[in-house]
Amino acid sequence: MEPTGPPLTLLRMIARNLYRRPMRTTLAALGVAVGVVAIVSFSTLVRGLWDAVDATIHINDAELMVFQADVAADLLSVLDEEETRAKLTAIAEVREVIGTLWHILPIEGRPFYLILGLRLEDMPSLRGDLIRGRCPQADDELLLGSIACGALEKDLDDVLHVRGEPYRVVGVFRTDAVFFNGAIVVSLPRLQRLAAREGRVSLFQVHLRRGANPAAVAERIEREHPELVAIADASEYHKVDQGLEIAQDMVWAVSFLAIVIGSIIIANTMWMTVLQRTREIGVLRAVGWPRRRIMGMIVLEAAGVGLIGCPLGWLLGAGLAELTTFLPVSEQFMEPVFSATPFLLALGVAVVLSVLGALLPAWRAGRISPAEALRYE
Amino acid sequence: MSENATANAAGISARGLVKHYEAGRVRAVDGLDLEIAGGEFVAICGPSGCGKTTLLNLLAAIDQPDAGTLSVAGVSLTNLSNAEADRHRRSTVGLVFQLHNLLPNLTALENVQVPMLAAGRPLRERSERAWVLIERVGLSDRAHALPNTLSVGERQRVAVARALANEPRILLADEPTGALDSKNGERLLELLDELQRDAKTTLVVVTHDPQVAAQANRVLEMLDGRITSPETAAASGD
Repeated sequence: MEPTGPPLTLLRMIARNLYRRPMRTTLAALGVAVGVVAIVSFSTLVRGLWDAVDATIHINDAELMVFQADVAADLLSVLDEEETRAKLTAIAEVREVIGTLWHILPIEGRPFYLILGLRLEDMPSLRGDLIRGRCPQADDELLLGSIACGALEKDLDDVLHVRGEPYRVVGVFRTDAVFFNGAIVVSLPRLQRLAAREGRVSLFQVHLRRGANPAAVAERIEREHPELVAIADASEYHKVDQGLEIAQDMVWAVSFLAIVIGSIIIANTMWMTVLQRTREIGVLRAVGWPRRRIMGMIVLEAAGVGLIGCPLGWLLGAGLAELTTFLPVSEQFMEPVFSATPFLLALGVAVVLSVLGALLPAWRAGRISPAEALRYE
Repeated sequence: MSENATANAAGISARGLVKHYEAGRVRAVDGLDLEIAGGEFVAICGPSGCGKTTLLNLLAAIDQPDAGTLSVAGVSLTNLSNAEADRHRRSTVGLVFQLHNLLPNLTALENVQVPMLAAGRPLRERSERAWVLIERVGLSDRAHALPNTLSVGERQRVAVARALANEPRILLADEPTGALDSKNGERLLELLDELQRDAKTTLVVVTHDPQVAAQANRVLEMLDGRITSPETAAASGD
C-alpha cells in the first residue's frame, strides 16, 4: 500500500462520519428500517393473499366462481343449490358446476376452521391435490388440508370431531389456494345440516367448455341473473368481499405511517448531527467549502443511513412476513409471496425518506456562519 | 502609498475598517488602518477582546466588515458574495486556529486533504500533496492517526499542514501556540517561520505570546479595535 493511502473523497468522508458514530447511525438506520419492514412484510403478505384468492377461484382448473350478489363477505353468500345449478347449467358454455358450502366452525378447542362441504360425487375433483390417502366415499369421512393436518395433529385414520360428530380422516391435500390448506372438507349434506343450511351452498365453481371466454360467460351470468355475481380473477373479488382491497389499503396506510415516522427519526437525527457538528461545519466553511457542498454532505449522509437501514428492513420485513405464517390463526390463510417489487420500492422509499428528512437539517447546516460556528462551544 | 500599490499579490491593506457586534455595542474593529506587504511575517498583539480574532476573521473573509475598505492579495473583501468569500478562504488564505479544529473522524492525512477536496484538485494530487505536507511538518509516522490519538502539538502541526494545502499566498494564524507548552510552541513557531520563508507566504499571527512576537518581522499592537503601534504608522506611511 502506498503511504498516502486512498485519497479523501466526499463519499469516503461521509462513510467515515457514519462509521465513526455507530450508535447514532444504527438508531437512525433502524428508523428507516421501520418503514422498510412495513412495506416489505405487508406487501408480501398481501401479494400472498392476492395469489391465494386467485388460486382459490381457479381451484381444480375452474374458470369462474359464482356467488350471491350484493353480499358483504364471501362467507355470507347463500345460494339455493338446485335452483342455481339449474340456472348455470342452462348456459351453453358451462360444462360442469360444483356447489360448495363454506362455513366456519371451532374444531377441537381451536378458535375457527374453514369447513368446505362438497358432494361425495364431486370429491374426486380434489384427487389431483391429494398428498396422502384418498377422497371421502362416505358422509363420516373427511379430508384435511396440509396446514390443518399439522395444526390439528391429525393424520390418516385418525378421528376428528366436528360439532361433536366423529369423522375419519381419509386423505390430506395441498393446493395452491393456501386458504384451503388450512381447511377441512366434509360431505355437503353433513355440513348443510351442521350449519343449518339445508339445500344451500355458498358458491359454485364453474368449468367451461373448451374455447369459451370466461369474461364473456361471467358477464352473461350477471346479466341474465342479477342475483348472482361471477368472478374470473382476483381483481374482481371485491364484488363479494372487500377484505382484500381493505388489506391492500391498510398496507399503504401503515407503510405511509411507518415512512413518516422513519422520516421524522431521520430528520431528528440529522438535526442533532448538525447541532453536534456545528463547529466541524464551521471549520469546513472556514476552509472554503461552499454551502452547497455542506448541504450535499448532510443529504448524502442521510441517504447513506437509508442505504444501511434498507437491507436491515428487508431482512426484518421478510422475517416478519415468514413469522406470520407460524401464528396459530394466520397460518391457515397467510403465505407471503416474495417478489422484487416491494424490495425495490422499499429501497427507493428508504432513500427518498432519508433525503427528505435531511432537507431541513441540511438547509440549517448550509446557513451556519463560519464565524459563529468557530465561536460555538 | 496608494491602495493598489500596497495590495500586491500577497499583501493586505485596510482603511477605516469597522466591525461591530450586538447593534454597535461591541466595537470589535473600530476604524482600523493596516498595511502588510507580501511575504512579511507580522505579529498582531494586544489584550484579550481588543479585536485581534475579529480582524483575522475579516482578513479570511469569515466575517464581512461593516464599513471601511479591505483588500487582501489584490482582492477587495468589502462586498464579497458568499461564493467569492468561499473562494478566498479556499485558495488565497490558509487558516491555523488556536484550537486545531481538526475533523475528528478523519486521519491526519485526510484532514490535510479537506481544503483540497473543496478546491476540486485531482484525487492523486490531493493525497500526494497531503503526504508531502505531513512529511514537512514531521508527522509521516502519524499520518494515519485520528486526531484524538495525537498530542496537542501534533494536532497543531496537522492544522498547519492543512492551512498550507491549497498553497495560500497568505497564512493567518490565531494564537497558534496558545494551547501548546513552551517546547511545542517553539517547534511550531520554527515550522511556521521556515514555511513562510520557503514559500514566501505572508504570515499574519495573532498572539499573546512575546516569544512568537519576537520572531516576526514586525509587531503590531492592537487596542480597542485599532492598530496603535508606531510600526503601523511607518509601514502604512501615516
